[in-house]
Amino acid sequence: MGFSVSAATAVIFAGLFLALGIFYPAMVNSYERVQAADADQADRALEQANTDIQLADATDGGNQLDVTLTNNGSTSLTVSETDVVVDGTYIQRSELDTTVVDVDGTDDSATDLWLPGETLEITYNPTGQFNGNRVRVVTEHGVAVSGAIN
Amino acid sequence: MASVSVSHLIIFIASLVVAAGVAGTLTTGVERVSNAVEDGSLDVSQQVRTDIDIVSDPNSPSINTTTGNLTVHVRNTGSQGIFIQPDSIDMVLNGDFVPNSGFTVTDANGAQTTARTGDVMAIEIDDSYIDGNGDGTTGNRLYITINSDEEVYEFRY
Repeated sequence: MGFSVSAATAVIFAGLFLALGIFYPAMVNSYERVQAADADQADRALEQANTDIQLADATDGGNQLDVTLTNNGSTSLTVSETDVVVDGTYIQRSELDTTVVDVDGTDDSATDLWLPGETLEITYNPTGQFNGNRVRVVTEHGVAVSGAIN
Repeated sequence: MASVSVSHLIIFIASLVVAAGVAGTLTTGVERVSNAVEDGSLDVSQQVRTDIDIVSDPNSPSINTTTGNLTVHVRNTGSQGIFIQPDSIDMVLNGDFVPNSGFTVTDANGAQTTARTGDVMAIEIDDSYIDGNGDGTTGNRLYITINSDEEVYEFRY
């Protein structure tokens, strides 16, 4: 009788250890996965709060639209991920010509980086005459500015 | 004496069988819970990573003059890719659920099937869901939900 109790207890404890061995890694992996996503979201929120752009000027040049923007925030932005909406119509990124003017006043139309303090000039040259009253520019993290076209 | 040994052996075997049954049931149950927790954490992390933003200008909604369809541009600002297909998007316009047959979704800058971080999707909603006659006096409210991330787009038509 005495040995039966010991043996049964040993089997149950072995089962408990096995169950714990299955449960622990699952919990750790799950926690870390959610934790990583949370940290990522916090990073994005911080970058979004640090991002600030200003619409300096939007001019109807007859055949084209010229938009001048300033990066007043403290994050670097991606030129190729800046969107322009004219009177509600989304302009495809491939139709935009961009030039970044750095703090020394040097133009660079090939760069993809728009750093703090730099000015981004976007030119949209549609086929035919340009028509539009209102422009909205959306950059990374969904930070947007809008204004009238002069 | 022999009968005592036999009965002890029987009780010993029975106790082992019961203990093994208990341990087996426990392990199976814990394994199921562990799998469910893993699946749940995957869903939660994807929901946390999903973030969208409306690109379209609320002041001048893009409504096609011929078809009357509304096009809303949505940008992926999260770190989770979004499949460019109606199944990924749930929309409610003016309190009416827009079924998958009521809108089309395309890549705004090409022909990709997944919108990654910074990519823009164009959602074209059928004109039958839009209130107003085009004189700019009727308010519309569109709720877009992608993977539990909700955005509101309000405009007049």
